Amino acid sequence: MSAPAARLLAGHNRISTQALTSVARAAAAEALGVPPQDVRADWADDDGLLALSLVTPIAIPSLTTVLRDPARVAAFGGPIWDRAVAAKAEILRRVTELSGAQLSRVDIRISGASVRDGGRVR
Amino acid sequence: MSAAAERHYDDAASPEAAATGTQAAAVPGPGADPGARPDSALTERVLARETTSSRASAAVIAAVLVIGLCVYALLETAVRAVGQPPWLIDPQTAAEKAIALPAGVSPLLLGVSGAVLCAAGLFFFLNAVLPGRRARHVLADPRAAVVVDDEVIASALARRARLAANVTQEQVMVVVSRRQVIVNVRPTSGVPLRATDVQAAVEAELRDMALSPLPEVRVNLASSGVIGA
Repeated sequence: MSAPAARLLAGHNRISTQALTSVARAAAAEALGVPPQDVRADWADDDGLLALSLVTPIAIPSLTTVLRDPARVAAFGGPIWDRAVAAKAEILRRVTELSGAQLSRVDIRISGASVRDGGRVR
Repeated sequence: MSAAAERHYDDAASPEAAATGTQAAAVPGPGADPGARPDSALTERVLARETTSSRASAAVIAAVLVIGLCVYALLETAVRAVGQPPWLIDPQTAAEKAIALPAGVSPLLLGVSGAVLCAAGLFFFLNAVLPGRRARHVLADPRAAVVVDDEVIASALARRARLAANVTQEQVMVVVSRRQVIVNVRPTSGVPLRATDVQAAVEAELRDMALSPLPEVRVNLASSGVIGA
C-alpha cells in the first residue's frame, strides 16, 4: 500500500454536535453582544451542508440613553434588523473558520432585548 | 477491531447474478502459471466445490422418491400378475381413474395436490438448473486455494471507504455481490465528499485483494448528511 494510504489509516476526527453548538453560541453571543448562555442554537442538515438556526436576545442601548444621545444607536451598530443581517454573515464566517465545517445558512430569530449601556464609565 | 462493526450485507447466490456468469471458480492470478502447478486441477475442483452449493441432498430426495414410486408400482404389478387382490389400488383401475380425473375428486383437493406437485417440481428443477453459487469470491493465490465470504470483503471495503470519506462506521454501508460492489455513504453535514475519492479508494483496495471475478464499484452518496458525526 502506498504512503498516502498509510497516512489515511491514522484515525478519524469528529466534531460533536455539542461542540458545534457551543461554537455557534459563542459566535452568536460575540456578534450580538449577549452572554452565550442566553443563545439557543440548533443544527439542521441542508443538503449535505450545515444550517444553523439561532434564537437569541440582542443587546440594545437603553431608551433613555438614546433619547439623550441619538448617536448611541449608530454606536451599537444601527437598527436591530441591520445588526441581525450583519451578524448572520459574521456568525457564518466565524463558525466556518473555527469548526472547519461548511455552513450554508444561518437563521436568526431575535427573542428579546437585553439592555446594555455599554462601557458606562462614571 | 472496528471493521467488525461495519454494516454489510450480501446477497446469497441470486439467480440473476448467477445467470450472467460463465466464470469457473479458479482463475490463477497474473503471477501464477497454471501449468507450473501439479495440483492445479485439484485446486480448481476444490474452489468449485467451495464457491457453489452442493446438490447432493436434493439429488438424494429425488432418488428416494423415484425409488419409492417404482417399488410400489412393481409391488402392485406383481400382485396383479399372481392374481392376488390389489394392495392399495389395481393398476388398471388407477389408469382409468387418472383418465377420468376431474370427476370423482373434489376440486379443492385436486387444486392443492396440483400446487404441491408444482412446487416440488419447481424446487427440483431450479436446483438442477441454477448454478447455486455461494456468496463467496476467490482470491488469486499462487500457492493455495483461497475463498473469502462476501461479508468479509464488504467489511474490509467498508473500513477503507470510511477512512477515505472520513466518516463514522454507521455512515457507510457496503453491499457485495458477485459482480458488483455498492458503497453507500452518508456524509457528515458541512463536510462535502467527493464520490470519486471514495470510489478510487475502494477500487484500489479491491485491486489489492485480486478477487475473481473482479466486481465493479458503485458509490452512492446520500444527499442529506449526518450532523455532528
